[in-house]
Amino acid sequence: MKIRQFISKYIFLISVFILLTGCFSYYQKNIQLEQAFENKNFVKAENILDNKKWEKRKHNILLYYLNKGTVLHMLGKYKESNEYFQKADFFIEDYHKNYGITALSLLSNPSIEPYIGENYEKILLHYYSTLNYLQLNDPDGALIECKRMLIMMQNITTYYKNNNKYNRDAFTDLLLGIVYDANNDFENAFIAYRNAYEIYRDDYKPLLGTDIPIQLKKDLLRTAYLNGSYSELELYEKEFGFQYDRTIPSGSSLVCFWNNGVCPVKEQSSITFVITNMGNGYVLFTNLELGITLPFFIGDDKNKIDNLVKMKILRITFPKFVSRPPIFQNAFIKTANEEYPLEIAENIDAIAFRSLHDRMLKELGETLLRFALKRVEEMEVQKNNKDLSVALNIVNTITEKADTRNWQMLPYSINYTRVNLKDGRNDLTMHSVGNNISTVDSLTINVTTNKTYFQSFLGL
Amino acid sequence: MKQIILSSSIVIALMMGSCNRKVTRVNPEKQIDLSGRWNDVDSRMVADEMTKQILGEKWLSNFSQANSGKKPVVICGFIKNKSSEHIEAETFIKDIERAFINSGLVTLVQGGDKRQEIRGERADQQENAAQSTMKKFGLEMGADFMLQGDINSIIDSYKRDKVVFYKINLELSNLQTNEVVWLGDKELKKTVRN
Repeated sequence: MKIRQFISKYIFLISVFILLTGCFSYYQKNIQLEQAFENKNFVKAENILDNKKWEKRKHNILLYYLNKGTVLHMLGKYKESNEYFQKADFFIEDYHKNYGITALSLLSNPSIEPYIGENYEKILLHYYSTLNYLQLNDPDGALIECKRMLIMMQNITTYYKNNNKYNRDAFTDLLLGIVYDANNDFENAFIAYRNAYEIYRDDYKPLLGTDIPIQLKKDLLRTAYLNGSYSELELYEKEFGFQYDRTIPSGSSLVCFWNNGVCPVKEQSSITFVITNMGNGYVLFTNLELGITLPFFIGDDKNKIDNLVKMKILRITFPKFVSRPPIFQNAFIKTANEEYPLEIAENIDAIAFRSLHDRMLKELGETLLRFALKRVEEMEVQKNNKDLSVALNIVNTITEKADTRNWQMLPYSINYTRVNLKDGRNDLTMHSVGNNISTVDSLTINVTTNKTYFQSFLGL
Repeated sequence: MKQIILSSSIVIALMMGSCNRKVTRVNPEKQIDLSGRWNDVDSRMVADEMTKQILGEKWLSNFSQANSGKKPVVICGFIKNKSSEHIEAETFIKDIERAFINSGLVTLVQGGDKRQEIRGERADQQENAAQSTMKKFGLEMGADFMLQGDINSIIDSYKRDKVVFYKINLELSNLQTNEVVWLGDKELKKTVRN
């Protein structure tokens, strides 16, 4: 009786609270931060991050580390940036302890669980820390970050049994190759470039529509030659249809990264499954729109099958990505004699969509039946107990909210090129080109020692 | 209503209880592994093993016999971290250096940034110190041997299980002849389940 009085007294307030807070996506809650970032006002973005208390709460702490690390990187505070990326790295590494609990992360109430990152986010935090170490002139530190990136990706791969999924990351191997290359370790650079090439060819092209960067092909041939792998050099020359110029002396170069645009954000969506009895102890969950059919074996429990089939349809909420197309479509670096186009190395937009799609199928396969049975139980309770029924409605309203969190400061795509440098002063211009917009940034590099220089640009 | 107040009190008490931080002093030698990453225990194990090896092998007596009982002068060089973790080699190198001095068998000279700082101070003395106390250039003790090394790691993981293997190599080279007079290594293997 007292529960009923309490519920009736506070039900309105609770409902209003849920409606007000629950309807906003993570992006909408963070709109000021996002706008400051997109307007390149990184000082403001840092202030917002420092003042936003809820961002630092345990369930959002990873996003706080990632956002703070990104903003500090943009501000040129590379050492401090790395402290936050390391915190993020260790948080992800240690959080696997609760992997079992988060198995239901798409279907259950995920927003109140600690955010542990999409797979590609776990990888790409090392991209920023690698850039930080390179800016700090610490190639050994950069190499460690690339290795950690590779180890993380290899571990993620172990969770996926089938191919035809985003379970290998070409950019990880490409970046590793670039850093080995910069350290004059041509043998390991060649191996990493070769691995990257194979993933671009076998996974990225068919799954994500990302072409194999021509720069990668050139670097693969060059390191094959410098490494003394002449038979592989000839093999790849035939495969690529062009030859490595063996007369060019190995000199300094600039590896230029262009982080173009911003990655997609998540919004709440819903999906409806029709439940049918297949016979022989099987029930089938079907969504024709998405072409998903998932059969589940129930066994001899006729009562359970009847209850499921009686439900007819099951509606679940889940996050979906919404793309944020970049304002620039391409970019190139111009020297006195040549133009170097920046090629897509990592299409984060495409990876985000693919990654969520793969994860959704995997998690639906593992947890949809359990979720449906939980709903059957709730329906039974609602029939028999009115007090609990009201309470359950509130719980359901909360638990039906999709998790719309993601690391929204990542770029739409990472593009790169390698520019040959001459000894002494090199004056370069970086041209970013959009439909009705183009910008030019100038860059001067004084080459005093024979080495690889690094530079990153932001396409916002 | 009483029940609600009681329930709220319990929730608040639990929340406050969970905020209490507990600090306990422990013996620095005690083995405490939390994340599975490189930690003080690994560093100490490397230092103990390397010290035992380097002070117990023939290069010391060979040098002493060939140089009328003179103690070898050693400088510590660069330890290259080739592993997949950001590991500070200085923690175990300092332990080894301390063991050199405490054993009385080896003379240690300063290298790296600290040597540069000393040279800077000596340069400063040429202008600012009294002549009677001013230290002269060109009287540094030249090392006979240089200690160098590398840290390697191999990680094999499958879902929540991980095997981490570290191999730390140290080597001592004769600065005059490039002869490697001592090679030491320490292997560490850990299994981690998350």
